[in-house]
Amino acid sequence: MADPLHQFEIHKLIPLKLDGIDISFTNSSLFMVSAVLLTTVFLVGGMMRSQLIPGRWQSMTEITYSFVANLLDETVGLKGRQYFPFIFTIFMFILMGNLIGMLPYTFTFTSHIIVTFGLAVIAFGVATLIGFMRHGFHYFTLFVPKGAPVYMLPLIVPIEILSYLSRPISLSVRLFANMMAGHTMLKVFAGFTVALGIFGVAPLAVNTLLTAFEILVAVLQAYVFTILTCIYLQDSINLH
Amino acid sequence: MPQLDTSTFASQLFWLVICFLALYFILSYIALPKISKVLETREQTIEAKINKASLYREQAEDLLNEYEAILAKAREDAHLHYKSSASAISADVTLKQKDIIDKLSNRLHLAEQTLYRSRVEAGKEMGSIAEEIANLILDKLTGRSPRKKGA
Repeated sequence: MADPLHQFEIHKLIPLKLDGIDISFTNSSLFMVSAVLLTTVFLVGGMMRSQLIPGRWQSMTEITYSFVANLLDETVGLKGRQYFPFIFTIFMFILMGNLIGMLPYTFTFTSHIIVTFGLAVIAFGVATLIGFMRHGFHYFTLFVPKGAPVYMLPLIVPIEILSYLSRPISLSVRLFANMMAGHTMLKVFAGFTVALGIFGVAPLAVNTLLTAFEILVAVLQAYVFTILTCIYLQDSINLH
Repeated sequence: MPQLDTSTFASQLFWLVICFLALYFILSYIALPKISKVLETREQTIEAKINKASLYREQAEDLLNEYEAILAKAREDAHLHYKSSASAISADVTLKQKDIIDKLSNRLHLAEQTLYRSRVEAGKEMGSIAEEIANLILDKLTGRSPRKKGA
């Protein structure tokens, strides 16, 4: 049976080195670039012949736009408008990465912990940066919950700091684990299908359902990542 | 597990940052302004049309009110007209009636006067006739001429 983790292997396509650090263009990079291009084509192409009454493609583009815009409006409010391109980039990049990964023979770059961690650090870092830019040192009051008794503060503040710092970890592990588990499961059932011969119909049926489920997970995880980023942004803008 | 192969981390992070930044700039400078412009235009168009529709509705309501006011005024005018002509006619009728009654009663009065005068005259003549007859009878019976009155 084929190794279900084989699909996560990284191959160098164009070896590159910068200052002794390996920055080769790999299959992972290829699909990142594909995600960027596909997103651009999807968004710009849909608006090519922009009309007052949209067609199908334009509708899809606009629905995606308003979906993320509403998400941001509901969690952060009007002050969050200026960060919309950032939130939208996060959403589209993860969504495209997840959805491209659902095609056979492709590589899912969101199934690598380092990529999701990088994304989480970008989201977390930008949110923290905005918090400090808006509130300065006052931003530290985020770690002091309102209405907490003073004698509890020595306990509460470290917990708050810890939970704050663990945000990028939980954010990245959630996406990575979901994508990796789903793709591994698909591969395992595909292996069963091949191994069982005629009886492989049963795991094939399961795989069909799993594929549908994985597409749902792909969209859902992009949504979850985005809404959590919005919530962190809301913390940094409004301080609770 | 390929995910834990740290030798690929640098390359993945590098390309992640490159792609993320590229997507960010493409979206914020090319794709999103276009979409937001279209959405804004649509919103404005819809709003303008709704405003126009409500304006037309207001105008229609104004026209209806005007029409109803005119109708009510016409009704009132007609009513007034009817009232005034009815009272004029009835006044005319009363006047004419009175006139006729006056004329009739005048004529009646005249007739009554004539009748009375005739009766008085007849009464007077009756006296002289009776005297004449009495004188005649006396003359015939006595052969004497009657004593003249005042004689």
